Amino acid sequence: MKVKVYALPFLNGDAIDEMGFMEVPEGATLRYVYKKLQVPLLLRPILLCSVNYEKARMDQVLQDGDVISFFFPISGG
Amino acid sequence: MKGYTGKILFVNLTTGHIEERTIPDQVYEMLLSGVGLGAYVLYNEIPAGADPLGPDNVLGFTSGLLTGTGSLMTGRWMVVCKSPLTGGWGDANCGGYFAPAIKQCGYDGIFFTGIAEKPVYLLVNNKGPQLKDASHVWGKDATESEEILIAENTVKKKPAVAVIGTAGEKVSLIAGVCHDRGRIAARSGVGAVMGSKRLKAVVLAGSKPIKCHDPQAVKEISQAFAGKVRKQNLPGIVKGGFLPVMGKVMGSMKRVAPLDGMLFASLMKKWGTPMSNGMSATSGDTPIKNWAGSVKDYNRSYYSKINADHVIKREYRKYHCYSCVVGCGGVCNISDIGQGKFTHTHKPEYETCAVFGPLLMNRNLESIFYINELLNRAGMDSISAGHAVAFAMECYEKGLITREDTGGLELTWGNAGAIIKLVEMMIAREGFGDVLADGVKAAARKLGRGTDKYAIHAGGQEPGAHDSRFDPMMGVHYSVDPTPGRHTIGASQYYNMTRLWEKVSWAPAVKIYPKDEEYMATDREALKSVAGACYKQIVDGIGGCLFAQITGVQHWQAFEWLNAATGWNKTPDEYMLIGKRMQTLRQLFNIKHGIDPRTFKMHRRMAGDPPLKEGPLKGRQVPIDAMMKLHWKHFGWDENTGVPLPETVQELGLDQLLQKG
Repeated sequence: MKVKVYALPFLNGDAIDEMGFMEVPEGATLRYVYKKLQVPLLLRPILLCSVNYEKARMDQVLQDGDVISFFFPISGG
Repeated sequence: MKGYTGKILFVNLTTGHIEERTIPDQVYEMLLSGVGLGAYVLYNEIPAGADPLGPDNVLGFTSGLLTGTGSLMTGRWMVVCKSPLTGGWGDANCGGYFAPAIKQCGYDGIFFTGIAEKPVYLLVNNKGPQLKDASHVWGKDATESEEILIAENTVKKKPAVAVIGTAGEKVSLIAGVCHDRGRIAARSGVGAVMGSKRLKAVVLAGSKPIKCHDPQAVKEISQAFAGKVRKQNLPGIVKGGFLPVMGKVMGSMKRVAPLDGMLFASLMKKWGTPMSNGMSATSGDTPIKNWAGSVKDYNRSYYSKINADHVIKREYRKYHCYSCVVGCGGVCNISDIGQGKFTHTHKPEYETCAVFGPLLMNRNLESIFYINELLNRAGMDSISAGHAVAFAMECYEKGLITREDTGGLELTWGNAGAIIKLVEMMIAREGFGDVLADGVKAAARKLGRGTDKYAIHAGGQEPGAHDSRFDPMMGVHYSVDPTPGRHTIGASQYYNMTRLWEKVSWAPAVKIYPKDEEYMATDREALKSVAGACYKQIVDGIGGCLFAQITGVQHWQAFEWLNAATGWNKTPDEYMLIGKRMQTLRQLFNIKHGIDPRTFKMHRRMAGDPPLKEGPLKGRQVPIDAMMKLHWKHFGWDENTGVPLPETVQELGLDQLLQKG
């Protein structure tokens, strides 16, 4: 199944395709995505991550089509 | 029943003649409404070489095609004219509540030509349009005038008003058109054109329904968008002090990722655009000290004083524009500033904070609040005004002007008292203020003495407060857009968040990439900038908000809304062709009026010539000439001159459309 991942610049995006999707196995949790992205352990407590725009836990089981977003503000106008 | 009315109002202020005109469906299908409709009318109506401040110029107010259809964040209205600032195409847009009011009067646009003998305003209600005497409000500021005109013209419904302040009356070339006590369509000198026509205001009190093809389908898309925005709320632990830290990280980042634009809504809901005050200062996004400094100059002891939390501390009410679910605006208490001259002001936008803060090395936030209200009431563009003051300060520093020129003002960097005084003088066109009141290009011309070296502009218009050395694509748009110097057309950051590649076949897809790629003149970067410009035209044709746009096409579904509202069932690629046509028409307007697009290239300092010696942008240079050429080439314009090629004009069907016009 596929989930959509909005990664951060300092993460490993190799597992994400051009449309922003990542292939994950059935029953995969958010932890699996963190592992694929190689999120540094030190950063984990301060990174804000949501699944379908709701707060998410690392052991949350993902569903096909879920949207995983990392928070990292950029400037506006 | 396609979201538009198919009619415009045309007012000749010289003769007083008012007529209703029908616009063929084909025009909307080819150019949408908003800026596209404006371009169609102005291209056909304004004779080549017309004086922007003369009777032949046409000033138009247009609504977006999606405005009032039930779609969200599509309530921006446009002012269009030939710009006295650049000599070419001029437009500016604004939020608030004026856009639906145009349609509720039964029109997609209201256009003015000629010059009135004495000050007038146009009133349109359900009985029809009429020109009325405006002598009693001429000379009053925009806010006071608006309140008087609303009180005079409220019957059942409170009217929506677009009005000039004293800056427009005095034909300051950096004057805008105001609305709702402090919103302003500020750019291109549109207020000067309105003032030159002695048109004080447009007062709209119609209540006609706005109909579209499939309101239920529009509503369903809106509900999905609103549902996502509703969930965007920052955790309490995220404070304003966090923003400059994030800026620092961004400024040092060697790679860029396309982020989820929807998360941007959470920042906008909490702080509005001042969220960038600290973040952009540290990242390199904010130009500092007239584009010659860096965060090493405007260091923590400065930027911490203008941080977003300090701004919203004064906010006592949130402000939403029509059909907005974010609400980035606010109203702030300023009764303790300036001896209580004003009680409140609209929350100053990032642009205002940046050009009256870091650009001038000013850390006095109270002065920025005060200047914000001064400019809003005068109806003067804060971006241009701030750059004019920065220009004067650098000239003063370099000894090109002295206290003799400035009327005794000591224009040293960060001198808040002198900044306020100078702004008041600009508004009143008094003494040295009169020199600056028409923007930096005109000021340098008046002063001579080599001051043009410090006049930061593109094609006569001062740039937005986003550094092109931080986001080179921003610099491309500063230099190639028919309204140069605009920060709202395109940038890498906008492109990455808008995610056009998810729906548009030819828009290059973006994954995580090295930041250095942005500094290379490549076909891929050019295609991205072309796609951004085409989509922005669509946004300006439907009345869309930039902050909605950058949540991404997967969330703010402009293409789908358009199909639901019109029944056209076009593909995103077909809509992008409309965007390309709109942009090409705006460029053709400039060519018709004798503009050489090459002269719109931004000031060399903005391209890193010479490069900055410190800060996050240290050594950064933008190959702007090569980037402009590639952008033009991929637009189907002559890559050496920027003139649209005959085959492009033909392919876009503009030859036919304009001949018919």
